[in-house]
Amino acid sequence: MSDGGGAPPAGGPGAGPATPAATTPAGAGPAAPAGAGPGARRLFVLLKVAPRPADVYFSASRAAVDATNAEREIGFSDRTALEVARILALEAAAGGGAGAGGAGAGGAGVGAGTAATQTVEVAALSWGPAADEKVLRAALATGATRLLHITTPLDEAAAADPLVVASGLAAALGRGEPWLVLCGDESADESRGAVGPMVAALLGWPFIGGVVRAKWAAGGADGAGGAATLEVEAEEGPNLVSYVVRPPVVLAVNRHGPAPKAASPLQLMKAFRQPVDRLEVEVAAPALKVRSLATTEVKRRLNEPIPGAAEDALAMLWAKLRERRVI
Amino acid sequence: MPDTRIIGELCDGCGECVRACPFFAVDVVDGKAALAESCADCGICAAACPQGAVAVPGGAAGTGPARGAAGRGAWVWAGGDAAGEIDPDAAAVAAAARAAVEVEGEPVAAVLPWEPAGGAAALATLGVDEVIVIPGGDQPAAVAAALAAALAAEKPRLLLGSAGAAARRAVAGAAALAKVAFAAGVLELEVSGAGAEFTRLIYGGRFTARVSAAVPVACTLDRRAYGRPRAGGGAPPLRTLEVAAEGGAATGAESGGSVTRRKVGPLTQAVPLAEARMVLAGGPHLAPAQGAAEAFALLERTARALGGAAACDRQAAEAGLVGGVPVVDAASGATIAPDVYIALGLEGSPTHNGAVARAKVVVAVTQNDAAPIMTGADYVISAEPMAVLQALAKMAGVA
Amino acid sequence: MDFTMPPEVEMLRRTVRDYARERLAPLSQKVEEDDEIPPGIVQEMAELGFFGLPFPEEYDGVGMGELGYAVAMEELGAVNAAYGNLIGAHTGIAAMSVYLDGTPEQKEKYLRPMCRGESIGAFALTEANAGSDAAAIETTARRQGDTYILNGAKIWITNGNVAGTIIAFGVTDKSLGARGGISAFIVEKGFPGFKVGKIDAKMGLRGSHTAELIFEDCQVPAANVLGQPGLGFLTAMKALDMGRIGLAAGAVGAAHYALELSCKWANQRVQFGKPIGELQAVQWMLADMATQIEATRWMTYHAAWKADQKQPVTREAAMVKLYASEMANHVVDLAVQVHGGTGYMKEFGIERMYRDARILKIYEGTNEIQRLVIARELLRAWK
Repeated sequence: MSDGGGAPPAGGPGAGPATPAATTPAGAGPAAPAGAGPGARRLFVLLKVAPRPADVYFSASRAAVDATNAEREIGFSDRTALEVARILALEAAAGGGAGAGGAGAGGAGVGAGTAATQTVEVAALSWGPAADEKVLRAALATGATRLLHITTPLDEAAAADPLVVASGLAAALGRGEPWLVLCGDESADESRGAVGPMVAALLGWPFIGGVVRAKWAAGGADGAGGAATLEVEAEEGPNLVSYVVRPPVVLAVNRHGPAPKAASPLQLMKAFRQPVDRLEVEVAAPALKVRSLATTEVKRRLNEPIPGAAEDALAMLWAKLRERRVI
Repeated sequence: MPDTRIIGELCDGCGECVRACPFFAVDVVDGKAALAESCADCGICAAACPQGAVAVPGGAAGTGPARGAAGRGAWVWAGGDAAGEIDPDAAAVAAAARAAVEVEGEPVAAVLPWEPAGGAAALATLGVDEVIVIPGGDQPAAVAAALAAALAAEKPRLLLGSAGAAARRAVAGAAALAKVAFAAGVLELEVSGAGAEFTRLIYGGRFTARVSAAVPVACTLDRRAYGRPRAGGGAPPLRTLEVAAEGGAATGAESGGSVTRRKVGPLTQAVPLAEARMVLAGGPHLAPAQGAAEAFALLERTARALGGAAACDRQAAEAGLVGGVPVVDAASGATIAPDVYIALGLEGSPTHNGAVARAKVVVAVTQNDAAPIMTGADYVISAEPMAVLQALAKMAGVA
Repeated sequence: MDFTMPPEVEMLRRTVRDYARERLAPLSQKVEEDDEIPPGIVQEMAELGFFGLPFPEEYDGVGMGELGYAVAMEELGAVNAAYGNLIGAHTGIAAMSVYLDGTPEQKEKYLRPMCRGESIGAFALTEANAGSDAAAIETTARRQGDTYILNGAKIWITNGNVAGTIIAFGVTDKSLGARGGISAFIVEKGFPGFKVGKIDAKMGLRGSHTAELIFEDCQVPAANVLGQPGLGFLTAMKALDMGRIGLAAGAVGAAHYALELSCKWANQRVQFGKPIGELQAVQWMLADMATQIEATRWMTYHAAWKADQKQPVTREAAMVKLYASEMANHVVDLAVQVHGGTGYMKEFGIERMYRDARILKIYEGTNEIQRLVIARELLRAWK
């Protein structure tokens, strides 16, 4: 596969490790893509490739999670985040935003000459083994126009510590001039939801999790007076909360966001012809050590019949549940 | 150069230190333990060594912690979602924190980014020994930075947060800035000496991982790790901690943006299915087609009244019986782990049973002796599912 | 020797598989009942690029080559033969003819819309008196100034009733026969004198239609002669070679799915106190099915790979079509047996696979013809 051939300068593949304190990123970071104006708003989407949960099982003999035959895919939450980004970019290109009655091609409804001057581009960023590159290309086929792949090797211990991952991602983001960062709320394997708030804190940005919807506020991608804002809805516990957000912020999208698009063969092939930016980052020392694994699936059930008619059986059941302290 | 030393004459090469070290800094070489440069003097190996063969600076051989006077107490993030609010689960988390440090007899403090709206009375319900107010208010980035600075200044051994959104944001963010070990979704927690061991959920809760780390440790808890809040006690003392909040400077460029919280409305289900501790699920045999709509409406009301959530299986959903009730199914719906799962009139296909395999107690209400759910149930009631639902409704006080 | 599937082909497989299992499979029952693929689906598949998979991007194809195309056909074949047939006849032989022997102008005018699925293709060779003996076709093509006048009737033409672009073969010089006397033409549905006759009722393959195509003084511009005038038979044979690989891949996919269903059934069905999968008789059936599928699969990939390397594949294509069609019929027959009574009942879908598989041994060159092709190549090699 082509190695970012022809495009990025010194800041691209093989650049030295990022130092968080860098004021001007070395080599000006990955070059702005062709066609994006100097003021392009960059939406970065953090993606993680993980084994498909349905293909993973617990090996009792080895006390380990067996993912050897599992197909690797971009996690469902992450793909939802990418879809949110794709929709935002689409709406921006169509001159969308509240007040643009119906985004048609060429910004019809906004009036000639008022289509957004800000282009919005979507860049996917992921840290993982080089072999996952082919899986990540699906992102280029479903909304991302650039793919940045951190291939610095991560051993199991380092990968289990969210701070290591978040530090590396934040360093890479620091070089990329992000305007908005989106990610999935929970990865399929680590189920942590930690990387999002950690990256936000390291960047000094606010964080909102549980996002289910994001759209441009009035003024679209240009914004009123140059400051574009978004209307964001998030699930917090039993409530649906709405926020007005002025980026830069980090938004973590959960499973109830818009359904992710499937890549079509046509777009997939185009994705394989695009260059991928490969990056290196520094790996912080891990602070966690995984000692052992176990399964939570209850293997043996009591199979105890409770006799009697509905009301009596229910009363007996409730007594048993109280005894077992589950209610 | 680490200050920790192995006492060669006492070491028998058992390897317990190797297993315990969170920094991979010990190995057994030629039958004796040997420390590497990366040793952080945390003292966990000393605590783990059955021979007392590890000498730790600042303490006698075989004791920890190594950080001198630093590292005391447990903090609980108590800030709620909106300004002035207290996290509704803070008291339960405080109870869990107390249990974790109980043996050490250390204080438990609640940390807030604002003075609580309810004043002293609100603080009394927390069950903590003191309340610390840090700057930050309703700006998430400032809160994380302030909490990180507070951690560095006061050095508690433990920082816990609830499973809620505000806690995750604050605790994980602060941990990142203060470079404190962090884990989310923690089920069990043990703090001893300079180390902590905890169990957390991975793969969406299907498996657990036992993890060790050196203190200080920050965690957000899974709901099942909440403790029972203590009643009584007056309002704890409140103090304000002035810390300079330096935000992350990874970009060195612009500072973050802003968020303004606007309206709040309830989600459709009072308790989201994924968080419900009791789930009532209806299957295709709950009611005949004509009565299905009312039956599922009754199911939802009853579940709500019992403080839980309603669900259905894939078969019932495909037969078009269920209205908006969510589907429980490993392949095409939700996988859940409630404390009690009551299946009314459902067969129990393999994908359904897989989705509820982690429930603590499964109750099957079915008159079909050969239904696959029978083998996957703890209790089986062989009465008519509708009759049992009506009895449940009556018990819950639903019309 | 590196047997790793190229990454883009592997990802293509996943994309097609997910689409087929999630979007197309649930419609299978409806396709079988209505004898039609919902038009919205055809449109959707066209937009996704399913109609131009092997062709280069310069003509709006996807550029996946024969290997990518074979893998996609394999995943489609697992779901329902109708989709594979629609695309197989369109891409595998009709559009392929234009790709192999068309002029740049013809490719621009016809291959591009076919790649985009805007025009469905059909390959019209077979006639009432010319099946295996394809050289005996009787449709005449008489030159008249700048036009050819076609007269005759083609039968059993897949996609015939929906095709916008038909590759039709006619006799331009009876005395020369197959060697110089048959020409290939690109016929548009709208040309005067072309009409669709009856649509056939078949044993299986519901959702995919074959029809009679009637040429009554059909006027075809001379610019629409495909390839060299008089050498149309060569064009036909070249296109059929390539089409056979896709066909074989579809057969592998269907057989694999039959195996999957059979294994699941064997694990589930309890007789004599245990799952039938524990009975040796059933285990041997499953083992035979799996072994044959494995062999056919790699043969097919190899033939596709050779085609992508632009190496001659006549012998391999014939072998692969022969073997895959016989294998698929055998495997599907065993699958019915493993399923017992449920294998015969309409509601379970196995019986549909049994009926759909039978045509594999017959169309795109009967297996007897394939054997002739292989034998001829062998004897030529060892003269």
